[in-house]
Order: sequence, then structure tokens, then C-alpha cells
Amino acid sequence: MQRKADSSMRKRLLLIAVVFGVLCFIVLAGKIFYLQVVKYEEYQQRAISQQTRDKVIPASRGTIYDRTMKPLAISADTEMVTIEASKIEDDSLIPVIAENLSAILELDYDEVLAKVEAKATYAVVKRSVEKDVADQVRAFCDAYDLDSVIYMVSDTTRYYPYGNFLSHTLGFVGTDNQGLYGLEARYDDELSGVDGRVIKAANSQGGEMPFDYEMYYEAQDGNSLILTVDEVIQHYLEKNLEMAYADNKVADHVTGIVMDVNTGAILAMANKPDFDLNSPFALTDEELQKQITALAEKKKVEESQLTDDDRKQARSDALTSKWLNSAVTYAYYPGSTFKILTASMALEEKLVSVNSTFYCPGYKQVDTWKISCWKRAGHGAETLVDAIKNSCNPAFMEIGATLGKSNFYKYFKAFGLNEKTGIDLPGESNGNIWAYDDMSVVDLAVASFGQNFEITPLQLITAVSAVANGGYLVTPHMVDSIIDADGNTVWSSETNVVRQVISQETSELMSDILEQVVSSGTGKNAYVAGYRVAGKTGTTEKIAKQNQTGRDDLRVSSFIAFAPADDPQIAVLILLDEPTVQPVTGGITVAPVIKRIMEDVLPYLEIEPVYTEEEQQKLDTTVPAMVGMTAAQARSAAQSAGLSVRTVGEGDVVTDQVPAYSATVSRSSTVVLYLGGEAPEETVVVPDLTGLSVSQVRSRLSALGLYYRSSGTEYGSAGLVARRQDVAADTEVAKGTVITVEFSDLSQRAE
Amino acid sequence: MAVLHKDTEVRSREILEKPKKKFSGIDEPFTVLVLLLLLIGLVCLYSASYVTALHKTGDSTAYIVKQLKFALAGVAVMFAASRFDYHKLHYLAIPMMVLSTALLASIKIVPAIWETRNQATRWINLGVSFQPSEITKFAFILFFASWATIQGTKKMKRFQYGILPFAICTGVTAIMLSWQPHLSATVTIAGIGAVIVFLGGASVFWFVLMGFGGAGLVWYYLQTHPYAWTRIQVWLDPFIDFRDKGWQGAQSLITIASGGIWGLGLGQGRQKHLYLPEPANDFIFSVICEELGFVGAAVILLLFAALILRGYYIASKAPDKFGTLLVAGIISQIAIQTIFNIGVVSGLLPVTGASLPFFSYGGTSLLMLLGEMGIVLAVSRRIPPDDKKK
Repeated sequence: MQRKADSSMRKRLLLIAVVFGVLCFIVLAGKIFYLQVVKYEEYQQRAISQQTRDKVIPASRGTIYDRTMKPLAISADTEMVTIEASKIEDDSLIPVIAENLSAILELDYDEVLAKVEAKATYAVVKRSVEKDVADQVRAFCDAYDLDSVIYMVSDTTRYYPYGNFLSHTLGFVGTDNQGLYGLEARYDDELSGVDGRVIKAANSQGGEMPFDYEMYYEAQDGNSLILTVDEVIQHYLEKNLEMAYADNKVADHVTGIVMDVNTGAILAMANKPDFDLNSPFALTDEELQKQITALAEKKKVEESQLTDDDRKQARSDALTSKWLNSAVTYAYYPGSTFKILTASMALEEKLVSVNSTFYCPGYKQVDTWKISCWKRAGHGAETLVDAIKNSCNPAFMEIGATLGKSNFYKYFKAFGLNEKTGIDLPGESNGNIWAYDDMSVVDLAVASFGQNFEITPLQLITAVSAVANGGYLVTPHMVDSIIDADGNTVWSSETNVVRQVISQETSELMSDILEQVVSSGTGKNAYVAGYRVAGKTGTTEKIAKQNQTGRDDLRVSSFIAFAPADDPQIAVLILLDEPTVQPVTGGITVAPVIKRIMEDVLPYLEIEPVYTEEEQQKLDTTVPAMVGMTAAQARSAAQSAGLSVRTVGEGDVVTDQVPAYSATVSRSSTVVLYLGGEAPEETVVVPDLTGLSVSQVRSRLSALGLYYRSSGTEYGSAGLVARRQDVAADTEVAKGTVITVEFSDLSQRAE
Repeated sequence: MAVLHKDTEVRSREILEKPKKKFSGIDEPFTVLVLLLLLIGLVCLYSASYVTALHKTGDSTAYIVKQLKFALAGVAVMFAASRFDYHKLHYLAIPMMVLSTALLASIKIVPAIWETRNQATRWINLGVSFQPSEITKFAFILFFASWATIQGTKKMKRFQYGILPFAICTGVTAIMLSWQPHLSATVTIAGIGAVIVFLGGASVFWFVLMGFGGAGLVWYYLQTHPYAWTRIQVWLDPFIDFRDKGWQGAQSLITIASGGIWGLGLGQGRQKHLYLPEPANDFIFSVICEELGFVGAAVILLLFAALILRGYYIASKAPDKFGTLLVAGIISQIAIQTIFNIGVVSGLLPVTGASLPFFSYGGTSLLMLLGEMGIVLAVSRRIPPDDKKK
């Protein structure tokens, strides 16, 4: 009898069956359920991301326009060299590829080699490759049959058509088109757009997959900026800053800002020296040497002892200082320009009036300090208006004392001087003033005339704009609007009034006083005929640097102005950091610069000149066309143009004239009319006119048969001397040529 | 190897005694389940293998055609074996054990005939390549089924009959398998042996003791092999070493989970495109999960569970102890391999090469598997008709 399984065996069999056939399967099914149902999303993502291959389609970076839509920063089409190194079948090609690519693309061999050796399915070798260079890469690919490994993708490159123009403000981009500096950095998010992608299914070797999975995300081109900057005004500003930089042999830098006083829109902003936006990393030997010398001095070692790291540091310092937008980053003592604000505070608080009188003995005793006026002899008795016109320090120390620390502090804050202005530029600094409790009477006294505390040029022009525009502190801004790739406006700026600091009344009063500073005070050299320019000079010592270097002649001279005084539209601030041609006071160095800018900008802004009768008299005139007229006709035509006449010859009809038709000359010049025959073609050598008075210039030129027209102050003062002439001395010119001469009043030495 | 007891003669006669009752037919549910799993397995193998086949041989049908041939032969073998009197297998118990041992030992004697794939030397190639460990599994089933039947329940309770031969055979085999190495085969073989001696009557006490012993060994191993800890960590979260040691496990998890409830559709799997290693072999179940979703995976799990339960049912109804133990051993082999394989691909167990019965690519092992199924059917055929109805 065979034996069947006994009951014990059956029980054990049942146990095994339950474990192997039921329990284990429940556990397995549970785990599979957990993975496929609970964790589905998470793993699905991983699956998709590893099964697909991305390719980037670069978005085109937005353009930066000036407010008249002139492009200042544009993106040009270039190519991007990419490599799918995983497809390299023959490893011996790796060094060949690295060598050729690094040579053609001017890249470091090791860097390229690393990218090739990584054997990734996608790597960018170089962006922004010009077409002719890309063609060289193509030729190399063809030669080695690498078309499926190395390929070009369209790319864009930043290009600045104006080179150095607006450089500190515009900023620039890095190799990946990312904004690194200035507006390019500040508005990077707007400008950069969103890169597109092609996502394709691929197996683990990067090959195509048989199933259909391809997604195409179009690149979203960046938005464009329309700046408040006007290319023409910026051009005027830069031209004049360059001139001032050269004329005054400025050792450090010059800065200029032109701002719309009512909206806070920055119409122009520049610093010199500047740099070429198309090669921001280029340094001249001179620039580098300057930093190396400075670093060696700082470390107190010989230049030859500097390490390689030191030199790298010097290089990076040189670049950083070159890129600095001093208009917003550089805090300095505003000096007498600040008196505008001190006077506004006192007038607003009604602690002084236009008729208040002060006495200046040439100094003021504050605490234990005897603080001098710039005019050691003193200004004597003077009204508030005189005190401002004279830029008298003792009077202002008195005004400061009358104001008191708490009022001073209150307005200092109200003018926004203890905080950033909020301009849409990176790196703005916010000045430096005493903490309220630390501020002594002496501090208050010197602060009243702008000493021993620091603000930025932008803070000053913003505060002075508030004085000009009726008392409203507005936020300065660079961008007027942002438009998308199709030209639709996506954002536009609005005037942001932070607060009203002073009343309309005080504002008007100050405008009136400041106009007098220019028409008959220390700001004379900024006078522009036909326009009511208001302004204030300022000159300060660079105390910290003087203490450091032991020198005593380091100055910052500046001038802030706005116009027209009866309806202020624009404010202009010009600052020269370390001018070295004496005298260095703002009334002499900077006021003429302001004048030139105002002369250019105000007519451009279509602000009509209104001449006084006296000005009418002195206006230049245009020589009429008189050839062919009878002598009598010509005489009356010349007279109506305000010109005298001298005739040569005996005829009845004018056969030639000097100067030629349409030349602009000074009124009361004498025109030579030839009655029969032509003007002889004689030449003369232009003399050096600098330093001569108006009448001396006039007689020197007319003796040579040359004509002159004046530019700049030509009123009242006997102190006027020629400072510039448009035709350089020793140039040979035809007789009858018009020489434009600019005069300045060199007696304006107020600090 | 183990030495048979003196009274084997008497006992073996019992095994060979002719059954007196009429035969019933082969077990139909079991037959249907086998054929169903085989059919689904082949379809899935085709889907899972065509990418690899194309990549390696240039012919996307290379694997499936070969497997199909073995499957047809295997079905023929199965039905032939079902008509065979399984009692005669008793004679093969010792020769098979000897053959198995000789084959396993040959790795040290004639390594030339051995073939290495994926850093493991598990195949002997004599024109046809096969894994000797498959023969070892069958040898263990035959040997311990015979042994337990002959010794009887009472003797098996004692250590020297129940446990000692099992421990010696398993130990020696484990050492020889470690030369390959082949952890999953070791586990399967130990499992098969353990199930049979357990059913044969071996004392539960020793299994508990061996359980603790095993745990102790594992603990000692981890203490002395610091790198083993990192293997454990990679097993628990393969994504910590995604690119290297965790790659297989992580890819398997991604494959399974990205199938979701309904799957991507048969043939639509993406992970087999050279992401998932061995998609036609050890990781075929992952591909199934991706393509057929949880629904498909659950159906296949149910079919396996049904086959295993039906197999144990047949074992319990077998006309004699030898039949019971033979079927239980064969079914346990399928159960352990299936659980082991799915446990590995789903991350429940550390990654180690283990194939899935009926599904994984491998002709000779499919042939052997179907042969074993034939033996189960042969046993089922001899179940008395009235017994079967119960």
C-alpha cells in the first residue's frame, strides 16, 4: 500500500502554499501598486527627463532704445557651436576635435578637451560665433565627417553701435548674453526673454526612439527697453564732458547728469573716462599700470614685488573702477551746491526771508573752531540773496544754526539724502552722514555749506530738482517704457512723487535767487543769452584723500543748474573730480560747461529763447547776401542786420562781400563790400586770444581782417577774458573768417 | 555526497509499487495556467527583446524565434513527461546529484567550457549553452523527495536524517555556486531543499535555529565587509548612486512606475530602449509593468499565484508521498524564482540576477521548466478520480 501524504505533511503543505502562493504575492502586488499608482508622477518625471534630449533655441535679447527709438544696444544674429560628443565613435578623434575647435574658436584647449571627453549628448562649445568663424568650423566638420557630432545653432550677440556712448549706464552682457552691468543687468529679466527648447525622445545612447515624442517650445524673444535718455542730449553731454575732462586735465573723473525736473526722467548721464561696451574687458596698459601703482603703494612694496595674484587683483580693480557709474555710486562732499538746499530749508521754515541780513567778517567762530569763508576778507553786510550769490560760508553757518539740528535732519531726510533715490540702475550708493546723535554744532555749521558729509551726484540733482519743480521729490528713472517683441507696450513708467518737501512758494523764491546767481553772481559763466538759467557753484576739498596723500590741492568742483528759471524743465549737474588746471573753482571750471550744454539742449527741447533788450543788442547777426545789390541797397541791408559797412572800389553794384553770405558774426562788425572786382584771396595767421579781454580780442581780430563772434558771458563785468577759440592759434585762414571766442569771468573764485 | 541508509531497498520498493486505482487525466486547470503563462510570457518576451535583439544582432526577432523553438519543444516534452511514470525518477535521484556536483565542480577543472556573461560564470557552453545550476535545482528536488519518502516522517524529525543531509548538500552546493557566483540559484536551491525536508517532517526547531544562524551570518558579513553597507543603502535607495551601482535598480523602478495603472501599451515601452539592463531577461517584468500597467502586472501575478496554489493542491492530492514532495519541490522552485525575481525588480530585494519562469529569455531553462511541469502533470494524472473531485 502506497503511503499518501499524512495530515502533518498536508498541514505543512498548506502553510507553504499560503506563504508562497498568497502572502508573498500580496506583498509583491502591494509594492507594484505603490510604485505604479502612488509614486507614478514622481517616476514618470524621471522617465521623461532621461528619455528625452533637450536642445536650446536661444531667445533674442531685447533692444535698448533711446527715447526717440534710436537703438543703443542690439542683438545681432550669430551662431552657437554645440557638440554631441556621445556620438564620437573613434576616440582618437577627441584630441583632433579639441585642437581644431580651440584653434578656430580661440578657446582654451583644455577646456574644449574636457567638454569633448565628457561625451555628453549636448554641450555648448562657444556662443556668439560670427558666421565666417562658424563656416571654418563647418569646413573642419566636413573634412573629418563630424557633421552629426558638431553642429551650429542660431544664436544672438550683443552689439553696441555707439561704442563708448552711455557706457556706464547701459552696461554690457557676458558671454552667455546675461546682463552683467548697468541697465543690461538691472533689466536682465526683461531683456533676456525665454530660451526655447526642442525636446526629443532618445534612447540611452542618444539615438532616436521609434515612438513619436517631440515637443517644440518656441523661444520667447526678450522685451525691449525705451530709455528716458535722449541720444542727442546724451551726445551733447558727453561731448562737453570730454572737453571739460581734457581742458581741466582732470586727474580722476568727470560726471554729468541731465534730468527732467518734473518727472525724474534721466535725459542723459555720463562719466569720463568711459569704455567701449563692445570690449568691456579690454584694458589699456596705462589703466592697468595706474592700478598696479596704486596697489603697490597701498601694500607699501615695490611694484616688482607684487605677486601674480596681486596683478590679477589690480586688473580686476582697474576694470571695476572703469565700469563704475560714478553718477550713482560715487559719494562726495557736495559743497556749496548744497547751499540751495540749506536756503530752501530755512525759507520753508520761514526762519529767514529774502531780506534777512547777515554779516560776514571772513570767518565764523563755532564752538572752539574758527571757520573761514572762502573770501578771507569777508563779504561784510549782505542779504540772503547776496549770501547765496556770493556763496558766503559764514552766512550759511548762521542759517544752519538758526535752522537747528532737528530741522536740518528733517529736511535732509525729506530731500531723500539718507537713502537711495531708487533709480533703476544697479549699485546705487546712499551717501554718508552723521548719525543724528553724533552731529555736533560744528558738524551742523559745516554741513550748512555742504562739507563733511557725502551724497551722490544723483541724490543732489534729485533734491535740487525738487527745489526747482515746486517742491516735489520725484524718483529718478532711466526706463520710459518696455515693449515686447511685437512692439506692444507692456509697461510704462509713471512719475513717482515721493513727497512734497518744500512749498511752491519757496520753490519759486529759490528759482528766482538761483537765477541771480547765474545772471550776476558766482555762476555768471553759466549764463546763456535768451534763457533764464538758475544754478549754484560748488568746490570742495577731497579731505580724506588729501589726508591720505599729504596733498592739499585735491578738489571736486561742480555746478548744478536748472532752466528755465520761471518754468524749470531740466536740471544739469556737472562734477569734475580733481581738475588740475588752476583756478579749479566750479564757477570757472564747470559753469562754462553748463552754459555749453544749456545752449545745446534748451533749443533742442524746443524751449524758445526770450531775449532782453540788452541781449538783443549783443546778439550775433547773420550776414545778408548783398552781391548784385547797389551800394545803397547793400548798405541798408547791412544796417538792418546790425552791421557796419566799408566799401572797396568805385562801382555801383556789389561784386563781392566779406564775410560771405550767411556767416554769423558779432553785431557791430564791419562788412567789406567790393564794388567791382573780387575780394583778394589773402590768408592770415590766427593769433592766440586766450587771456585777452573782449575789446582786445575785437581789435586784434579786426586788425587782421578776421571776424569774431562771442560765445558765453559778455555782460557787464570787466573781468571777462577769452578762454577758448574755435580756430586754434597759428592756423592759417582766409581773411574774413569768423572766429568764435568764448569768454569767462575768471574772478568767480567762490568755492 | 550524502550516503543512503541501509534499508533503502525496502523503502524504494514502496515508491515503485504500482498504483491500483485507475488513472484520471492530467490536471486541466494546471495545464491551462502553464500554457497561458507560457503564451503571455512569449508575447511579452517579444516586446521586451526586440530592441536589444536589434541592437546586438541586427534582427529584432532573433531572441523570440529562438525562444519559440524551445517553447514548442518544451511543450512536447511536457506532454510526453506527463505520460511518464514519475516513480521511475527515483532511480535518477543519486545520478542527478552526482551529475550536478560534477558539473558544478567542472568550473575548477575545465574552466574552458564555461562561459562568462555580465561578470558571472554561470553557463556551460557545449554547442548548446545551459546553466548547470538548473540541473542542480532538479537534482535537489529528486534527491530530497526520494530521501524524505524513504526515511519517513519519524526519522526525518531527527537532526541527522532531517537536517544534516540537507545542510551538507546545501553547504557544498553553495560553496560551488559561489565560484560562479550565483546567489539567486543558491537561495532557490536552499529554499527547495528546505521546503522538501520541512514537508518530509524535519523539526521546525531547526528551521528557527537556521533562521537565526543565517541572520547572524548576514550580520557578521556586514560587519566584516564595510562596502556591503553601501550595497544595502543602494538597495534601499538606488538613486543615491544612480549612475553606477544603483543604475539597474533605479532604472527598474522608473520602468515599473512610469507604466502607471494602464501602461503605455504592449510594445510601447520606452525604458527597454537601452536604459533598462537585461529587459528580455532579469528585468522583463519591469517592461511588462511599463507596457501593461498595474492592471496587466496584477493579472500576471494572479496567474502565477493560481499556478502555484494549483500546484500545491496537486501536491496535496498526489497518490503518494513521493509525488507530493516531487510536485511541492517543483512548485516551490517556481514560487521562489518568481517571488525572487519580482522582489528584485520592484526593489523589495537587492539586485541579483534571477530569471522569471515562463518569461525570461533562455531556451534550456524553459525546456527544463516545461519538463518539470510535465512531471507535475504526470503526478496529477495519477490522482484517483474520486480524490480529485474533493
